[in-house]
Amino acid sequence: MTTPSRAESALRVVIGTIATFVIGALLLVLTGHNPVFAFAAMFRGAFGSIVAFASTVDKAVPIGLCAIGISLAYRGGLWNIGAEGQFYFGAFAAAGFGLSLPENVPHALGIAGVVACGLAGGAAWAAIAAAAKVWLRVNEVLSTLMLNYVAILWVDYLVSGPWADPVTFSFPYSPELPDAARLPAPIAGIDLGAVITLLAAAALYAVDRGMRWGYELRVAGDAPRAAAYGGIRASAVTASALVAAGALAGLAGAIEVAGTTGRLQSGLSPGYGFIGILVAWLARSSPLGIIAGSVVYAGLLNGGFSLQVSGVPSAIGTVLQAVLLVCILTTFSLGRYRLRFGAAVGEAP
Amino acid sequence: MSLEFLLAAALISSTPLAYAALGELVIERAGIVNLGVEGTMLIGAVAGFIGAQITGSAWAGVLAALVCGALFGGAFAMLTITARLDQVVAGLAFTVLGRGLSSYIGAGFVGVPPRAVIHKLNLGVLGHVPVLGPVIFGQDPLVLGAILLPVLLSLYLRFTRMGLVLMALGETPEVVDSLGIPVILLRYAYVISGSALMGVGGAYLSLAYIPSWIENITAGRGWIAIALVIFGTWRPLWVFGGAVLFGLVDAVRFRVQLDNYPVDPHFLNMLPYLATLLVLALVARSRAHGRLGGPAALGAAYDRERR
Repeated sequence: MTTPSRAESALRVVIGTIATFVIGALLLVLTGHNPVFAFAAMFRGAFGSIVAFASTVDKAVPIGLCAIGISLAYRGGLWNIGAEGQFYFGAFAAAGFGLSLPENVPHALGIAGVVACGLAGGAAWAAIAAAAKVWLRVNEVLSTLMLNYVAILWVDYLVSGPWADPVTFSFPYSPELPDAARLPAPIAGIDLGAVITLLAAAALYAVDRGMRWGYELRVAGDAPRAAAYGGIRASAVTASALVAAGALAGLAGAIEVAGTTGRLQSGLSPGYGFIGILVAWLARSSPLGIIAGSVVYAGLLNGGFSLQVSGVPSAIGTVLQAVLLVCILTTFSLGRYRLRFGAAVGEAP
Repeated sequence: MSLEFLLAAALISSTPLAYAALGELVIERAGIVNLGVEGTMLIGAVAGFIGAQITGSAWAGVLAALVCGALFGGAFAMLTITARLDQVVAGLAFTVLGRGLSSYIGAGFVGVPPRAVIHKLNLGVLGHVPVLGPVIFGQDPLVLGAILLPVLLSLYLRFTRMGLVLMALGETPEVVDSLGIPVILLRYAYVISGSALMGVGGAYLSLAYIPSWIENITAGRGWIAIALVIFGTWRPLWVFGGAVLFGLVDAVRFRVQLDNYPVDPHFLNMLPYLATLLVLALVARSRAHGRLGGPAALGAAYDRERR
């Protein structure tokens, strides 16, 4: 398939987006809702005020970090379906660190520790799948996916048992993290996570453009035999990419715990790891595209939540997320077909 | 607890997995990877429940699940076979789509008591046969169907011409095409019928196993079904055997929970997923196969121009 020009790509995205709204409107009409009203309410809920926008950015951060990791692993030909579990395991590690902090710890140390634990927790969880892939040749799609369920149950166990908050014991919450372990939110409630996500996107760009590891990763992903011939240890390189992807998802979990919720809790993620997969695909490996895509998808998520008030089920946001990806991918895929007018059979090209 | 009871419970737990896994098997044999099993099951579960609510008949619900699963599969087929989207991405998108759509449509039905559920059969004398009576003949028709289906599918693959063609579709579609057999049409047919089976598997959850509608009622069973196809190395009887094994794990877990063993239920609930991981590792280790030992053309869209 030839790569379409920028203008053509933009046109396809626009067509895909329009198709998504048409399908969404159809669904809304069929279920007895007013699509204009619903879409307007979604937009207001996602971007309509500073508070709404800040909350959308808060959701775009974990989606973006997960997507950057997923995109990175895919450069090495690996599917990381386990960002959700890595997110939870990173959140667990970060919360464990935060909750065990003694009093009067400097803020910088607390934040550094939370971030490091998030990275390490997510990396460790992904390392299980990476090791199984390298040594046992276990398909990573399924292994990372199964590990999701285990990690989520592990966090559920902690917050309903050993780490349960004695004050809110009826809710599956841990106690609040001490202030030293909390991310500052300097502008309009948008915490440091947004900056970290932009840095991660820049790092992805650097991996692509300037790092030997990035080059090896792409060769190992696209042409494993050529990689072996060229002296690249393909399995080691791709495994390291999967671990790095886990670290980023774990970091997202740490930011969620230390920034947004302030505590470890059941149902910490409304599916950030899965949304990250959609965004990573939509963005077609472009770091800038991932940032844009995560804001859009966070908006759909947030807009969906805000709809509940008006009686439209919030799951419409999830539906639109999937439909948007499918529509845009389809416009790109169908771009291969071209209608030609006036060319008769047998005519010289 | 009696062994009979445990086996009966295992068969019940294995039924949704068996339908879904056998549906995926059919699709993968035709050369398509459908990772949207979880989403398709959810569509079937919600359609089955709502169908039964509206008509008052559980079997009308099963029919609704069959049809909606088939429609969902038809959409997947259009995207992967005709538009040639990457099958893995499309499958993941359909998982999300199925989750979203089922939650959206089922929002008004959460916690609603079911109007009709699938009842166990009463086969009179047969029910009193030792062991087989309670374990097999005392089950509901969908459980019996799940036992029969792998046998039929196995016979179909092995002894019929169409079955042979199905296997060839996944191995060498270009050869099938060169014989004048319509590759695209058949792939559509198998994706749609396999998805219909997944729909039935989902409906079993909402109409017999639980029975009611809750969001994400499948809780990962669709993914376990995919693992079962690998575990069963694409052979119907093996896949069914794997499903029963999982059903057994599930039954034991449930039993242990009832007996108040000093194990936190969260750990017991991890068992199916940990068991899947173990199975994946064992299968991968014992067979030094290339692409998971699956059909050779698995995952590749058929493009006649590149034959």
